[in-house]
Amino acid sequence: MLDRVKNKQKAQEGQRVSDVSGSEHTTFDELFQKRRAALVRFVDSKIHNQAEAEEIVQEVFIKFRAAYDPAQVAAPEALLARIASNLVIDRVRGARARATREENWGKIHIEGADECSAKDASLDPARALAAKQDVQAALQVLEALPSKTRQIFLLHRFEGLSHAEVAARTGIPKSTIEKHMIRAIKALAPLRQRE
Amino acid sequence: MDEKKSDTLSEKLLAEAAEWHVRMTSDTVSDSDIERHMDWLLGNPLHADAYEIVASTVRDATDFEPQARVRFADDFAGGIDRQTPASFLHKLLPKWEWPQVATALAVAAAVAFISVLPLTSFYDAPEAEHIYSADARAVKQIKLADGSRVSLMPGATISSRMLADKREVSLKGGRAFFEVVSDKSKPFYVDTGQRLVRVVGTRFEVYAAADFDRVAVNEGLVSVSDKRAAAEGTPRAGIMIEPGMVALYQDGKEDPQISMKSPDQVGAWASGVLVFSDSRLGEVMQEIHQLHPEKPIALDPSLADRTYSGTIAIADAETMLRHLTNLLSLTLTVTDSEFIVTAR
Repeated sequence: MLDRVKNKQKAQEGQRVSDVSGSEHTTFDELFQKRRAALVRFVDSKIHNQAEAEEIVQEVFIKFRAAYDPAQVAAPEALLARIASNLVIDRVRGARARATREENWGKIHIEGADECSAKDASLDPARALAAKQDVQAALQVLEALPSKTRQIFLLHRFEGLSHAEVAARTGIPKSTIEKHMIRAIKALAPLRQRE
Repeated sequence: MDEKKSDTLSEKLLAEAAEWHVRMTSDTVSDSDIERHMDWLLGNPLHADAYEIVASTVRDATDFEPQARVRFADDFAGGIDRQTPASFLHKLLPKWEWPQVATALAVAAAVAFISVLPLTSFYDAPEAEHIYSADARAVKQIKLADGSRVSLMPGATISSRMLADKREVSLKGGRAFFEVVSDKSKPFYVDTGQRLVRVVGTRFEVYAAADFDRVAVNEGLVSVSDKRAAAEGTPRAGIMIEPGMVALYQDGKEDPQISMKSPDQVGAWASGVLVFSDSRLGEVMQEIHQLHPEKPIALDPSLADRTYSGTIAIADAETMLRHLTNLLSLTLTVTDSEFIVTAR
């Protein structure tokens, strides 16, 4: 049991990055390696210079390392795309005015992120109230979903079941499971957008 | 995310982002999926914004996980294990139809039995005893043959007998919350071994622990009497307990210690959650430990006075402690002999 606690701490200490599901981890290197080709292709298509495109993508990765904060950014690949777009714009316009923009990109998602650490957030009464209202709104959205859709979302997200495992548990084909997941996320996402 | 940008994210864009997210969290993501996904993200800056919103929606769903686990307990059960899920009473109503059918069949069988064999000695035999227990994982909801409902805390066991002139439940140990259907011709008794709790129609909780009994009332009136005194031929008037009263009977003492709490809080756990309002962490740990006495919980003394307001879904001890420590940014260490809660 203690080993498990230690292993968890060790994992947190290492330089790792949450993937989109938030449940697994991948290293920066893995994240970069699999997206490098798409990034170079994108930059090259804008500036028509393969060698410089490679350099810009390298800079994307450096800036990403500096800007990425897993507490604020849920989709690291979206941050990569944003940084790449901005660097291309900088290159095209020959301007560096946007240099700090991508570094702040992760922070602007949560107002007051600078002043309020995640630890304190749970104790701030105003935030707690807002969080409570969010919870109620989310529960209402879940309640309004067709029961199959809700069940599939809950099993996947909270029971840690893969789409295939949810399919096995419910007897619903995997492709249909994915349609239900899309439906549930579509219903919940507007709550997030109101923040 | 500033307002202006949020407004421009259409439903269509979020739907596209949701589709990508589901594809990328599927168990069969190929390298070409990852590349095409990156192409999509780079194709339009709004794609990255929409994708971040969708990803954070899914990631932060953990914010409402405890409440969702309680409210949609049946969904988690998923048709696999129908015996154990904690659930709200209204969620269980459809499942409670079968005991009614069973009761109807039993009555029909009983009528046939009585009309065929009215004079045999079996006629006087008490009706069958039913035994129910809740395993360590969750609160168990039971509907008795008379329509009364019982919620059992993990580890609690009862047996019930419905007789011609009374209803009897033996609480073999643990905590149970009762919602008794009124029937003046058949009083309802809860027997803790030491004491007899008598009710007509009411909502109340009985806790039969190793060294004490505790009775608390949410609604109505109950009377508690000492079985031994009655057996010894010196019966004493039962003590009446009214809503909000908590009577704690320590072993070896005749009179209970009486305390008061909000009636609403009595048996609030029957819905499957523990509810805390500005409770000291020391008390919260004690509640969890009462539920799961098998392993002690060591709390860093500097944290004992910190307060907690909120709910914790009733589950096994480690799940409950992990949920609480995550919420409060504390560290939980699990050893073979104890749980240790410290500041992070």
